[in-house]
Amino acid sequence: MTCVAAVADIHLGKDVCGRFRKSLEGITERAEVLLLGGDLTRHGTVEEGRAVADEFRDLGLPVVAVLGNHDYHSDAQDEITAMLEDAGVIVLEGDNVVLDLNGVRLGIAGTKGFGGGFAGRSASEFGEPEMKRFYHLTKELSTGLAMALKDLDTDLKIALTHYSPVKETLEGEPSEIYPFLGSYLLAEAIDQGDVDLAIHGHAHLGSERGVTPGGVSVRNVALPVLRQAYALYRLTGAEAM
Amino acid sequence: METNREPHYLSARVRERLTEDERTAEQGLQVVVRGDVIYLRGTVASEERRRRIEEVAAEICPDHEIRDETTLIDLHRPEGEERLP
Ligand SMILES: [Fe+2]
Ligand SMILES: [Fe+2]
Repeated sequence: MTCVAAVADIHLGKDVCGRFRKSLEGITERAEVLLLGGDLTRHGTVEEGRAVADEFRDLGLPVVAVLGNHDYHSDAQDEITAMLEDAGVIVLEGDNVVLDLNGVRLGIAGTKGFGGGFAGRSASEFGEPEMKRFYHLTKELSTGLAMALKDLDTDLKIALTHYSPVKETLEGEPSEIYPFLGSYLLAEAIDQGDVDLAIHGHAHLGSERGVTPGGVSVRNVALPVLRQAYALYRLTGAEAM
Repeated sequence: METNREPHYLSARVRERLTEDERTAEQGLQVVVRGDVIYLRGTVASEERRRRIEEVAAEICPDHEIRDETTLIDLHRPEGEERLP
């Protein structure tokens, strides 16, 4: 059995440096991999990126991350990615990684994802150029996730995003802002990808548990939703292998 | 744009400022205006961030009383785990 630890929206800054790392003490005894669902920083500055890298280096287990919208705020997402990778964190955007966890092969595909809303009430690539660009990006990132999942042939598969693939895990957020919180295109990619678990963040007021139309468990691991340092998910599907 | 004093617009403006102001950069906070009182709700990461939120809200609404009902983030280690098929 494989145990996965996950958290998102830690929004690290100088004022909380070191505090999160402290709450990760003992994590190697409880989980085999740590997933970070984006919004690791507050302003997406290089300085905050460095703080995040220090927080997660040498934890003794693989750490796999996607970035969130806050991590893009200062246009330093590439530098932040490079610093995290220097610290040993695997950062995904439209790609995947395969980990061997005590003989179980776990594949993780990730993207930040983007908004647009949910089936029947979603944006479309139509009208003003700004609107077209907005929804075009959602499509592009969702397609990236679908391709990254398709490439995986592993015992277990996890999809890691910042934006939500489903509405259920947004429960608690005002419904008017759902189009800014996720897109059904992410769920469609997940449902095509034979996924065991989908992890996301971004919706601080949302709920932890949901499911895609295709029956894949979705978990919103935003720190304010979890009310604890991270969540632990044991994937029993690996027993069959 | 000059801030309209209607509670409806005021809460919208405060919420936007809390996200856009570099001192706070907080998304997902709730701002409720009732008469002369502004209630701030949601989860924040530290006491310092809480002070900054109050500071930014007070700047936009100098004539209002700010009531900070935010809670501090909980970082305790998880007690249990969820088993998934
Ligand atoms: Fe966030
Ligand atoms: Fe976010």
